Amino acid sequence: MPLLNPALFAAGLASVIVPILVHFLLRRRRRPVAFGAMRFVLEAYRNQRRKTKFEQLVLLLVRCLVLVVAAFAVGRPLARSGLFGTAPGAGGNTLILIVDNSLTTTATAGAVGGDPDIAALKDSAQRLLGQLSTSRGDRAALLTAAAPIDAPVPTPASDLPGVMDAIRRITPADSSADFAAALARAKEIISTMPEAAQSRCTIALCTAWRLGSADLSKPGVPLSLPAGIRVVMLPPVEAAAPNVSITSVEPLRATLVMPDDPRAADRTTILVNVVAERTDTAASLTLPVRIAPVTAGSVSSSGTVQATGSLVFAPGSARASVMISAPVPAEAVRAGSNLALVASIDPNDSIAGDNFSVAIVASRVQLRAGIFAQGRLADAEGAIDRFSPAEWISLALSPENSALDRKLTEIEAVTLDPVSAPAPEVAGLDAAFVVAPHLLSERTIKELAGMLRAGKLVVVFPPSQPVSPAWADTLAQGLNIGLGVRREPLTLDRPQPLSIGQPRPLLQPIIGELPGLLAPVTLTRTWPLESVPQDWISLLRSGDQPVVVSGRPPDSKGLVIWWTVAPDLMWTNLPAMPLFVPFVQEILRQGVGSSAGSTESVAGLIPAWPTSASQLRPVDIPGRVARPQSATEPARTAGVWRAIDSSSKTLGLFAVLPNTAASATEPADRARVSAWMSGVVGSGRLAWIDDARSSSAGEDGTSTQRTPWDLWLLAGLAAFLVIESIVARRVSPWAASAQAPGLSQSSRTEAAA
Amino acid sequence: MRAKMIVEGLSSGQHRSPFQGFSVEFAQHRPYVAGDDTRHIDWKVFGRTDRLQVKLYQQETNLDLLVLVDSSGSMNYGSRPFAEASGTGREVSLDGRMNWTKFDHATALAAALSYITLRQGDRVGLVVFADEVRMTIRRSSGKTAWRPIVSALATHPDQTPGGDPRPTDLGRAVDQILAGVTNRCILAVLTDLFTDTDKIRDALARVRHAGHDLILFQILDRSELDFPFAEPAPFQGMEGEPELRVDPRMIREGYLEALEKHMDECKRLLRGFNFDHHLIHTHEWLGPSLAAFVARRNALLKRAKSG
Repeated sequence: MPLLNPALFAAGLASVIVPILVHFLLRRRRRPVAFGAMRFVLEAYRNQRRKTKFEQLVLLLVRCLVLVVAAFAVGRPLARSGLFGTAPGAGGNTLILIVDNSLTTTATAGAVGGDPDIAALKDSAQRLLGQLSTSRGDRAALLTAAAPIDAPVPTPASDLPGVMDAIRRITPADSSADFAAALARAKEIISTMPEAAQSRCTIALCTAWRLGSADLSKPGVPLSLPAGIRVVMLPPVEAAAPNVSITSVEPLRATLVMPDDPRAADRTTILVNVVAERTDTAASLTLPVRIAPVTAGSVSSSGTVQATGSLVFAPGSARASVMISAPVPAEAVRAGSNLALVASIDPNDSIAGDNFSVAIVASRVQLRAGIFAQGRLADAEGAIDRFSPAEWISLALSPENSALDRKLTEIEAVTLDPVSAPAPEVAGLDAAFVVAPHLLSERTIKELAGMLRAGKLVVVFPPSQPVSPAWADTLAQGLNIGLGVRREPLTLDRPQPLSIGQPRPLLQPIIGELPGLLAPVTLTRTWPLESVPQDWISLLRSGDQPVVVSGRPPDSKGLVIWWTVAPDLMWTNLPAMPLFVPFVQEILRQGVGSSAGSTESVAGLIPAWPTSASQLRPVDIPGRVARPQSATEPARTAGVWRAIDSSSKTLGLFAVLPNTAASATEPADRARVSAWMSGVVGSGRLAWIDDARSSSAGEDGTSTQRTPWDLWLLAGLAAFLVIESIVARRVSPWAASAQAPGLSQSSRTEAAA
Repeated sequence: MRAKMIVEGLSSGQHRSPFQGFSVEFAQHRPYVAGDDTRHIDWKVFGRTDRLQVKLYQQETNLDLLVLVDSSGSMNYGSRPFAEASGTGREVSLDGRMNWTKFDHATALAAALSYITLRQGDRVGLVVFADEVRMTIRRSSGKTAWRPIVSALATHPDQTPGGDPRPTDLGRAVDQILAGVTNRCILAVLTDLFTDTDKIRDALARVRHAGHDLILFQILDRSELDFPFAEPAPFQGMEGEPELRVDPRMIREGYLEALEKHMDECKRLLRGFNFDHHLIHTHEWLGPSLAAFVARRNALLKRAKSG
């Protein structure tokens, strides 16, 4: 039996132990009393024993029952009215309320600062509920539409005041609405009712019909509701509400590689791109943006304001972005930890829930890259025209910084034998650079596939020397990537220039310099691809041919970057160009960050945390108080969450972003809503609730009465209290004592006589 | 000493004199003291001498007194502080008890009865009984007869702490007593009568059949009469009854009912045999009981004289 206040009910039940404890405590040890007239004590006890024990037992039972009934009365069971003689569905109406509590319901209709839509929706729902009557056997169920949908009152209940309380307790979420799922759930509820009751069932949809709430662009799935069921809905609001939302926070680097070196202090900032949209484009608007780093435990201890910037919206522009350099607190950076960047604005708009966004940045002290090639690498002191591909890669990964007179140490490059690379070493790599793919053994290919499944990066270059073309198929199959490679390399007639394909996100940090750096780069030889999976992207192209592509195998979260040109001067001058080092460094750094998989999800949608997570705990939820929730369903509240597994081990920080697509405040028109709803529920049963918002409770002459449950419980409680008083009085020793004076008085009277 | 004080107190006129109702044969005069019955003043002597003199009469028959004191376990109960009741100034008894028990009260009464009787020139004997006769002091008269009685009562082993608590069997005790008594006497039984009424009836019948008279002083503690206990506690009997943990307030009414019923039955039995019954509780003054004894004794003597 569902209860409105299960915690209070449990506490009330637990209090039954009190009279039982008192009953036993009263039996505590006392000093024995020696008494001369014991024979009469025994006689009196024998005569009264049964009666006294029975009366005391009755008293204890009644007192326990009083507490149990009180627990039920406080717990407010949401019972079906059939329990007290009214047959389920006999005579009463059933109302299934679907209340929209998605992100746009926080929009204030009319002027900013007014009441949000959700207040009006709840009010409307309560007015609709007020038209029911428990004396008729009416019942109500309650669903909320923010994704994923929730059911505060999952089955029709006759405790209408309890349903009213549940409506009052609805709070807005940061996700969009899922009316299709809510209507489908309503249909499930109806299907559990008797057929006779189904024809007296009404579904009421309380929403403002802002476009952010529900996507009406796609037709809904028809529900085939039983005959006789009515669907009523509130009309759309009249106007859009001004709103500015942060659509994304895009750190230039998904992974911070920060060596533990005080001389690297200049690298303790990251660039963050903040993009925002607004609905009101009339005038220019400048908004300060605040970036606050958040670690796994709490908001950064360095203070609330870490970095600021300004979003500048020109008149008529709906979008603006700003690049902000955000310093990272040193204590927040630890090897293998996550850092969340929370960007927020305060535009005094109608929806506050989308005024912040979050990005998660991983931090590492060092990246470890393996170069799969045979032979020792030169010390980079010899002639560069004789450098092997492996040597070029090694140089690009770990170039020396002559100014610091040392090698930069964030990237450690090791050379591994492609035939017999030790498995532990391979497993310890963050990225693999395969420059001799034709030499890879089957075992090594399996280990590379394992790297991809673990979310690592694999960069593949074609062999720089003539080899059998079988390597490509073997490697593509081994890594489970659907690339098709030509049988043999192609030598170009003349050097071909390269062009930029889709540089984001891997080349985001150098995107500004990329055109200039790419200009002098040419290809002379290539091992072309015949087919590339549709979801892969080309980083660099030569004409219409992809030169560098990246994508993920279907069964892995790791990233593959496949080159069609070997890092050899016989193939391209790229290794000797200024672009090569930053290019290789960025595909490594960005590739490692990208291949680890996303740590972001949108409120109400598919979660990004691993399936091993059992619970989410809030770390920073701007503007809300959030409680830990199960990790088995999406989060409805945006913010920074920490995922933990069943042993309470932290699996990482994850960002739940407000569904900014759900913050569109422009209302849909009635015709569009009718068309969509007709497609879902059928046209003949729809009706608008035009008067629901203006009617007051009780105007139709009915009012919500106490349910039979409440009446019976209160009557039972009163009866038990009366019985308890009577029995207590009867068994009360004071009552007995008061009635019987001692025999010494009567003996004195007789003596005087 | 207390018994003497009680008796002398009576004699000094504070209470009705126990010496009223004397035998009919004139023996001698003695000076009038306040409290003497004015009917016995010899007015002729007064007319002659201007001095008030009271006639003393000689008893024509002797009436022995046999004092039977119950020393069963229940008689060891008392709630009155010893210091308040003893009149000796001591806080505890000689054997270390803090409270004045029913047996103490019976002792005092027995001593007083013996004193009165001895002053009348009659013989007094003592029997201490419980489930059977525990001790006997042969009947004797004279000044030296009183001390052994008092001494025996003061040091009876059944009333020492740790003594073996015995139940009351009045019938058996009476059987044992009557076997040794040949002449008619008064049996003054001092007991709480906490025994079965059947046994009481049998004992009374044997006494009546043997031609003796009996006056029964039922001694109870005031707390036994009122049952004023308020706290649940384990109650322990004093004659081997099982311990009982009970809330006394719950059973008070039933207890008083049971006690009253028993007392009424006892009174009815005694009345039926034409014996006297007097209820005394340990917080009461002994004077009325003594007066009642003397009245009874005198009535018997008068009856005996008139044949």
